[in-house]
Amino acid sequence: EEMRGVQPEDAHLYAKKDMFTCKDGSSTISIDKVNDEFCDCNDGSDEPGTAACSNGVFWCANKGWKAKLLFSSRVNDGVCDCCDGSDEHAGIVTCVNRCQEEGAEQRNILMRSIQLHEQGVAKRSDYVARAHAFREAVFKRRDELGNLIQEVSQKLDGFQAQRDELNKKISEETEERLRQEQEAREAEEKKRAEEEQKRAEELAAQQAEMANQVPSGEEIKSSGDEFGSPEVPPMAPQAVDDLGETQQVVQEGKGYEDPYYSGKHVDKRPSPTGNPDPNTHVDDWYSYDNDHTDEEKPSEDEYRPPEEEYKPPEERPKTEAESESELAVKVLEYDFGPDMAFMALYDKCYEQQVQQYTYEICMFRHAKQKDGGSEQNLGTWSHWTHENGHNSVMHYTNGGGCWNGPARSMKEQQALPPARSADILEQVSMICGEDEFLVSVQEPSRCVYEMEFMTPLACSAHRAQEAREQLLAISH
Amino acid sequence: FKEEEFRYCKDSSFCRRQRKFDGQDDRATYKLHNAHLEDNGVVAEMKNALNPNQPLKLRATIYKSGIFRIEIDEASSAKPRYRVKDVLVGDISQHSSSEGAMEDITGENDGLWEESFKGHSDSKPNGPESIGVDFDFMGAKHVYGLPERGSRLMLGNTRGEGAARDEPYRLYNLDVFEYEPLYGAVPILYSHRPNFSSALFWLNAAETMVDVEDGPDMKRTHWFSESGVIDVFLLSSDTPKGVQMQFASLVGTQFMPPMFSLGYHQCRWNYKDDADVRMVDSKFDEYDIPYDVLWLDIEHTVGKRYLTWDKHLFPDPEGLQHDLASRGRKMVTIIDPHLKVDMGYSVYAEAKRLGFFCKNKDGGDFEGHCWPGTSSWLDYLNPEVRDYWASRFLPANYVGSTEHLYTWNDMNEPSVFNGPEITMPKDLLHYGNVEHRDVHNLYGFYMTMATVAGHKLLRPGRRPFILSRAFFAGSQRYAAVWTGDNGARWDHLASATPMLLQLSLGGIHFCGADVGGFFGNPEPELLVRWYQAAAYTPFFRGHAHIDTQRREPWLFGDVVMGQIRAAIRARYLVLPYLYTLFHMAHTQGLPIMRPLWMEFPGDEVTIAMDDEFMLGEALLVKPVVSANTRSSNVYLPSDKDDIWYPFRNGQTPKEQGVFTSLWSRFRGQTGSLRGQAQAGGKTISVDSGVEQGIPVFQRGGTIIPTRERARRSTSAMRADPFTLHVALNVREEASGSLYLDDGDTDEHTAGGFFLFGLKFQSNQLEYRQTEGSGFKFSHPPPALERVIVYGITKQPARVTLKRKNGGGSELEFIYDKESAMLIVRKPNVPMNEEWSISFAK
Repeated sequence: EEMRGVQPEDAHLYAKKDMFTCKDGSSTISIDKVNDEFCDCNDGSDEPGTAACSNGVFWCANKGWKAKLLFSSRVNDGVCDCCDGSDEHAGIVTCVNRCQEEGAEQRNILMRSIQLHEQGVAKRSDYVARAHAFREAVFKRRDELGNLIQEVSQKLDGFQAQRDELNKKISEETEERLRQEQEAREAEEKKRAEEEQKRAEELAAQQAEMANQVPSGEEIKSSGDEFGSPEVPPMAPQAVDDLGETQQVVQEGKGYEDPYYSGKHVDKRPSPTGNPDPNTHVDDWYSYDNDHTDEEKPSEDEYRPPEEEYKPPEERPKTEAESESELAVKVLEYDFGPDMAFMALYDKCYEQQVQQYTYEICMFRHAKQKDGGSEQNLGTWSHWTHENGHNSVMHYTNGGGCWNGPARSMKEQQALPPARSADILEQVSMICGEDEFLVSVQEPSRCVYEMEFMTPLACSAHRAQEAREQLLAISH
Repeated sequence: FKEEEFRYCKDSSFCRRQRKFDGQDDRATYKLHNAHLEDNGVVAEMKNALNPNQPLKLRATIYKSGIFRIEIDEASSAKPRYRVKDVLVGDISQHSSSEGAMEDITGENDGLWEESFKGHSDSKPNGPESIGVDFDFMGAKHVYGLPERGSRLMLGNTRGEGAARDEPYRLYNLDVFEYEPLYGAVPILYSHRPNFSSALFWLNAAETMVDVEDGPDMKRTHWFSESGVIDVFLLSSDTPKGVQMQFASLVGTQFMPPMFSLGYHQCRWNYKDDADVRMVDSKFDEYDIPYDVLWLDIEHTVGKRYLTWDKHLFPDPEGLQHDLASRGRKMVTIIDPHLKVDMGYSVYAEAKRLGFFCKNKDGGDFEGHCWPGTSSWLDYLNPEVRDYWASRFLPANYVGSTEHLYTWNDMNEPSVFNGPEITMPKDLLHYGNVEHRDVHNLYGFYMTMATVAGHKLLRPGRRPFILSRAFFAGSQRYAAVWTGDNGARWDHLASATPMLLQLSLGGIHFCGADVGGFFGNPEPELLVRWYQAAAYTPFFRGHAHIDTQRREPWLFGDVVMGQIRAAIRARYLVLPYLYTLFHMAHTQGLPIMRPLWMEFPGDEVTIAMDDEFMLGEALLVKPVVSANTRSSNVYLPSDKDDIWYPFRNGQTPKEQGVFTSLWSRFRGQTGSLRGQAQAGGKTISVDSGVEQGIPVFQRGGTIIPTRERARRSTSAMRADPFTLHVALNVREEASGSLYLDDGDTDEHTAGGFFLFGLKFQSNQLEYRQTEGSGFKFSHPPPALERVIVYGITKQPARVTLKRKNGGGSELEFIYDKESAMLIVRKPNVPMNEEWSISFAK
């Protein structure tokens, strides 16, 4: 005979005929005081089937669905909490057994969940590959930049040395000439002056030629041709700060409308398949130059400064290359997960419309709220919170100031399964999905935002396995 | 900027004139003529030398209850003065009005016919109308009352040497928060000294001022109002409770609230949408924290058009309400009196067409600014407008509402953002061509009256629940009241106690302060302390401003959450006692929250105390109102031989309801008289760390009924058994009562309730029905789970239950000599039948 509300693994504690010892061992009472609607044990263990102990728990079998543990406060409170209705036995309400239909419903949800997680896990290798390519490209680019910087530095140094030498030569020649002039001045003063002028012009022409051997800023950019690989996202900070560009993308409908959510997915990069989307506007400065190199820029032959112009090599390309290189090194230190898979999402942007606001998240970059022409920075990339070894919550901090409230902070929940809860009903939300998608944006307190983001990277084999086990438990 | 919004006495011509009058001008002194008996009073003509041709008419009436009333009006005048209607109840007659302007003009023209304040001009078509009278409270040293203000309970002097303040006490309902006057007004002033209590009730809804000063062995008070008549009620009794009951006989008693409204209310500006509400609701269950009502502030509407739902945020409000109701919970939506000027908004358009708005002095509809932008204000003084308003609550008109939805009337002072002192101009016109000046303090009163009518249409035969910010004398018949926009500050937690005591003296018994403080972010310790204190105040609601961080109990970690849960559970534990107190307030007008001197009128130490309070006659509560408190000094009052027992305040949920562990709790407490008892008449130090809760004591001689099982809502407790806490006095006697009804319908007004008297005497506890013809439980009747007797000095040989039907049984019990405590296990007798338990020596 089963004792009401007792978990199967505790059944032996209640098996004695005459006495019951509280689970915590604090006292022993006669067995007829168990489930007699009066709390006798400190730990509440003598009333597993009633609400008499405020710290007790009630177990319902829920055949057809799954067993559940309740706070004893739910027992005989007039609300049917167990699908088998076993928590209401005092006649306050009559509960209908809903376990079969709830079980069926949950089976469907679990099967869908298993499918999603498995699909997501399968896709992960693509992300890792993309992330790897990205990383290689960044390494390569970093090396190129290093070479460029070195080359420019050398040329700058070389130019300096040549110029010094030239100046020395000019001054020596001038001295010599002055001496000769001194001798011949009286004879051909006017004629000599003309000759000197001519020679000085020749020198100037020489200098200009030397300057042309150092590449100009434009040429440095064009040397990044090989960086136009579709797998490699832009890295420069200017890339998405340009509001005009971003909005243009949205207006051109580069994203898609999901029938279930009103959110828009805007990917500013070519599609991951490697086939560049002809409509995609890539707005970083490397590829911008790529687009234009062949068509608009004058060829090297045509591009010569006028001979009479004296022009030293530019330093700007060097400082730009240095800051780009610095950023590349910094990004490589970001936490992209143990397998670097999240690197594949670097700087990908997603949008969601909530009433009059458009929310934008650019992964590892920033989050924004746009309202018509104005926009509010909700924070820039800060760090991850991990849960069970997974990168679970992204944090964006130091957003714009907020009227009469705390500094804006952005907590992006990347819908990973909450492992804490034992109730599967809470895990059915969009924990992982087929593609990247900004599911929801909430502002629970003024200026505190929470987003839910869907990605195959949130799927896990562990969760699929859990769901499979739960499915098995229902089937029994 | 708020402080600048106020008009001070110097800015107000009638106040300047009244205060200037010193009573020394003999020509102004009135003499009585032709005094004669008429009906049950004396009628006389009053004349003075200043205006000999403008006699006044005086009527003095003595009522059976001992109340003495003085009415003074002009004998004749071109335009009748306004007399307050609808506030007095019962057989107190509302005398027909006489005529005229009463103010004696003695000096220069000081704002007699027009004045302006901060660019708002007041046209005063009737000229100067102010009235004023002096009253002396002979032998009185202390006065209290005149809600609502954030001051101490005892009112300091406003005039004379060493006066606590310069300004008179002002009664004018305003939303200029953080300063007085606040949102509501009850023009009653109490004076109390041992064995004599008296009060003065000034029935006038115009702007009113009261000066208080010391006289020779007396408190002198000077009352003056800007318009209306002099209609004064003098109340006196040998006890403060007697005065309270007299006042209730004039203005009515507390409405009997539905049981759910005594539970914990969770509010925030704003729970944003359907998902947010469901999340908050589910978290209370996830963490096993009881709550009864979830509130929605202004953002749930379509652009602050009240009685609408924003369908983007709440696509299925009925479904949401039904879902919460399936777990016994209710919802409240805010419904304010300002209606957005928008012909596409049917509530406005229909009222506009019907001419139901307050009018400018030139007759056009008044428009001002409030939350929705340009708005108009319904004229609730008009009975037809009240009917119209009531009909708006039917689901056909309030689409998306269900029977599970209740109402919050905010901003009803009324608050007008661009008006003088953030309210209506005084020369606006109401129903019957009455100037706003005459009725200002009644606007909120009439609005809640109309909302109650709406609830009665929506739920015939069932009890309304409305929360209001503005109030007047008598508002307790319609609405609960909260103290408005406080802050997350320790000093605001501290001032909640005197403010709520003051409201209670004004008859506004169902009152509370926002838990945690509306503005700002409370540190966790402050939040916990606020829950611990508010659990023992009549209205218990957490609320927060839209700019604050979320502060639901589970957001502060397990330790803080556990402390808040314990505090809320402590509230649910005492609900049977609290509900019984509400019955007493409803039937007799006795306050629920009482100053110590109300229970101990002979204990002079209590006269200035307002940091402790009595919840009914049995529980003494001392809120902790400062950070890092480890122990509190608690004064335990005493009239004669009073003793006190520490009351279980729910801070040890592990032990809640546990039989054996109760022992350890009381063991080892030293300095005890009998077991754990403490003698009254002294201050003791009580451990009161934040994890222990605030000091709560039960008075010897009382019996408190509780329900000790953890539940998620009041509804979930409806079939739960009861526990009786019997705290014996020095004569080993105790008494108490238990009120039971269905918690929801009006059946109680037709006798559908049980009132049981409990008496412990001569080692016998008796449970006898004293009133009511009973009602039928919709579930098995709840039983008696346990009886705990404190202060019983001898172990009984046996404890025997005797049922009315002749049955009975011997009961199991535990007795501990050291703590002088006895626990009876499971008498298990239904609480709707009489019984007795004997403790045979």
